Amino acid sequence: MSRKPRRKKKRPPRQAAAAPPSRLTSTARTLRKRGGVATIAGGVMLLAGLLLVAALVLSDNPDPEDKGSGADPGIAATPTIPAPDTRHMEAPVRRRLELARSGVERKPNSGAAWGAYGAICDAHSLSECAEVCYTRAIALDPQDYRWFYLLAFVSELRGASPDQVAARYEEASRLEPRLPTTFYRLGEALTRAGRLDEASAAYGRAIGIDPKLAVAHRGLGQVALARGDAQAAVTSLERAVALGADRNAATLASLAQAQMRLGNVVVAEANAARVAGVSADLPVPDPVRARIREMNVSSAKSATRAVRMIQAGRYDAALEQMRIVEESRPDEPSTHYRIGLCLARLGQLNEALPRLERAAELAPDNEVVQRELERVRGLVGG
Amino acid sequence: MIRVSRPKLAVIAICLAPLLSGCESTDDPAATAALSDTAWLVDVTAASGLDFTYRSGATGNLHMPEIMGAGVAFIDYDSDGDLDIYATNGNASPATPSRGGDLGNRLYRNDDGWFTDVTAESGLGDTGYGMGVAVGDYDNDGDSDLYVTNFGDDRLYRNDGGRFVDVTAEAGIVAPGWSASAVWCDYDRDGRLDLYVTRYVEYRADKNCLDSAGRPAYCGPLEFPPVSDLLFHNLGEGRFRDVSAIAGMADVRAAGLGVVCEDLDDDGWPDFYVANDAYSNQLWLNRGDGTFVDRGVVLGVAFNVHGEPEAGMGVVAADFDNDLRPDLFVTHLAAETNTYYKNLGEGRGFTDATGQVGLAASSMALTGFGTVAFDVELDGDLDLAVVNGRVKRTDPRADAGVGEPWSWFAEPNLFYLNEGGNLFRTAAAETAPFVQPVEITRGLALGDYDADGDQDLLVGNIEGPLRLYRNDAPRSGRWIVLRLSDPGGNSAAIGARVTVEAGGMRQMRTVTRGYSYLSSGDTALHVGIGEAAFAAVIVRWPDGASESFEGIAADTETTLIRGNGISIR
Repeated sequence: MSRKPRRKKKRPPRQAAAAPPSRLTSTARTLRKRGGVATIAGGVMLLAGLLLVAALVLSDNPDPEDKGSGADPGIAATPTIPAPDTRHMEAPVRRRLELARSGVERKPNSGAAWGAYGAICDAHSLSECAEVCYTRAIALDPQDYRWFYLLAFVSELRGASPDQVAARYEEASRLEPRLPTTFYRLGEALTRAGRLDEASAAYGRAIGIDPKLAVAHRGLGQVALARGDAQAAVTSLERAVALGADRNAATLASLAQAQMRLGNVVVAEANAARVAGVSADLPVPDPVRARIREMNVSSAKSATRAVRMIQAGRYDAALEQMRIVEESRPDEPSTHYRIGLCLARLGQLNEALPRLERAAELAPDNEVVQRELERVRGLVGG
Repeated sequence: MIRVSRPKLAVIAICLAPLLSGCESTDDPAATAALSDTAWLVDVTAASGLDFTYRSGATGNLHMPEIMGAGVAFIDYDSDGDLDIYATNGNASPATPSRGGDLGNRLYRNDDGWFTDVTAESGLGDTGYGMGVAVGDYDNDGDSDLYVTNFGDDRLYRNDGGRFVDVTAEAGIVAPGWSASAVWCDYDRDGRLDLYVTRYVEYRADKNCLDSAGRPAYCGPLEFPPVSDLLFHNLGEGRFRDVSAIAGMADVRAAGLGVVCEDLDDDGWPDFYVANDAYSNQLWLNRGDGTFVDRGVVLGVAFNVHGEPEAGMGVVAADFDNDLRPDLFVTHLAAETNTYYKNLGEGRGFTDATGQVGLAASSMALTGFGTVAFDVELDGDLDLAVVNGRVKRTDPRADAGVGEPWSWFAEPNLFYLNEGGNLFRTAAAETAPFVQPVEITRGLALGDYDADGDQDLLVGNIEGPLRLYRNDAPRSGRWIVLRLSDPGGNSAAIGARVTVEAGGMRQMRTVTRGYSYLSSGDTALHVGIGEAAFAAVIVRWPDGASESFEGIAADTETTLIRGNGISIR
């Protein structure tokens, strides 16, 4: 075989992997210019506005008030309303999406309607749809920090650059500077972007607002570790541990790594040994994302919620969740058992009995079902 | 000192002419202009006679193994000096795993760049539900043997002069369940290649999973119990012993997918690094007594910068920043970065420097699997290729090269150019034929199939074509290709560490076939040396002894034979 001819070629100009200015970054810059409005309005007005928007946007239904009706006419043309592929979805999910979408169709200039549709898409991991909707919500309703916050979160899942994500969290934090979680998430994005000094500052802002925010102390420690300052890392990570992260794998793992760098091998090994047996999660107080999660109406998520509610003794609410589950899983013994259990606990024994009998029929060997069935039979018979 | 392999003589003759005359090549401006429009990686699949599609046996029920396979390998199975190709295949539905049927693996013989299907005569048409492949000369007879990982029992094939014999049972290999990547490596430095096999989960076909919108979806690894990996010690005489328990691996259950064997703590003993899916990664440090200890957490490679486990798929160990220490690069799920662990050396472990080196942004949207490090334009630093394809369903992509349901998972690939060791930039324009196809890509292997001095790429797709990419990148300087021969040890000197000094640069490479995901590459080391006419090379052989070789001529392939250099104490 002959060798391929080779020619020297001038290398293409090399450039740093900087992200091109995004539309949103431009938006953010524009908003910064307008930022005086919010400042002038003052904290009281801002708080009132935020509470109002919280009630409007994060309710399951778009608000009848068209908050975006006075939006800048110069904003970009309305994008096509996203229509995710719903063919294989469960019926409750499909209906929820269709309802939210129809809200946008009715009020295409409402930031609230777009945001609500985005939230429903977001809740069901339809990130592309959510990204389009939140972007539009920002264009129509640019003073609401949540659209920036949610867009940042979703766009990160969609593969936006950490710099873009950070710009969105920055804008959210400018509009609502009292929420420590925004600064925490900003710190994470900046860390991912490799902007460690800024990440450190963002975690510091979060801690300034909530000095007991363990995740922010952990983040600060991890940034210090990434910068090569193992001693500072240990200080911050130990603070996180003292604030409740003593059973958090990520904190202990980073602490172990920092101790190792300092040559404290025994301590490092001890912390590393604890990693496997503890939780991966450290609670991030995030009311915005929590509300989004609650909007998921898939049978799996509804069933999980129902179990949690049963454990908490909230049988009415659990029953509501199980009715959603039943639409998609009508023949599962767990569906009938949980509905029967809720009905029985609510005193509706006659309705509970056939449910438990059906569950026993579908799962004849399940002792838990049998026990509850016998208990309810006894109550009905008595 | 130096033995030049016979099939390369023609190449070397061409290369030596300008070298001996002391002249640089005179560029024809017109030709240069034409070449500047040429893609760096050219898809030569059809032109080379390759026509193969990995079939998953999917029946619509979304069984997890369907979305995980498609390992590939370069292997010189007939010892004729050029690289042949091996590709795994699926089988009937993984819901009912069984051997037999038409969907066997495939072997293609390379005849001057044209590939012919020689599966039937080779005995390599394994009909298990194929996952991956690991090539290695375990019996030190000079030819390449082959280990096939399956969803189902694995197989070991001994190469008997180009015909392969299934010796799994007589070798004592027992690897049931679901295996993924495997790597050959002489971990005890006794001169025989041992075998590390990652294993995934205890899959159950009756488990159905849904995505967040309630749509049927492939289950994730956390839906099933994870499985511990296997380490087989080569006893010689064609026999292996499962030493997983003694060595320490049997105590750890994680969903293993990718593995490399490399001396990561620079103590002269090869270690194993395992990329686990949704579990912390393991860094099995070799204690030198047949046992290993996992130091992944304390050395900073178990988790990402946030201390979180990620969905580890493929992995490569290589010295990206030319500090003579191997770094690690691991591919991950969408919504996670692929992660670059920089080796800090001196016992300080590693640091996740993904963001700092520019590798974070581009990988967030994509699910990475196979990955290789090689110097595409031979400029003296290692570049990165990553192949992608989701495991979580999304809306079908309109630009996908496959129809539904595969278009739910198809994604484009990534290619990064190393900008001096501390910064990578995507090179989509230069490598368009490689990055643009939107497919479900898994396997990725390196090898110079056309023997022109640079490394080419072999790509395995699920329900898509096996693809071969010829490297036509314009070279930034001169180059050497090194093969190693250790007659008293493992024949190809797997595990040898090579330091090349030339053109004002020092570069470190390790001889290995095992990296990426489910795949196996060639052992040759391809090194860009700038404008230097000669290179000096130091080899640390697998048993720890070192030798130096001087005067390695540029633009040639050279075989370094142990004992022919100058011994270094």
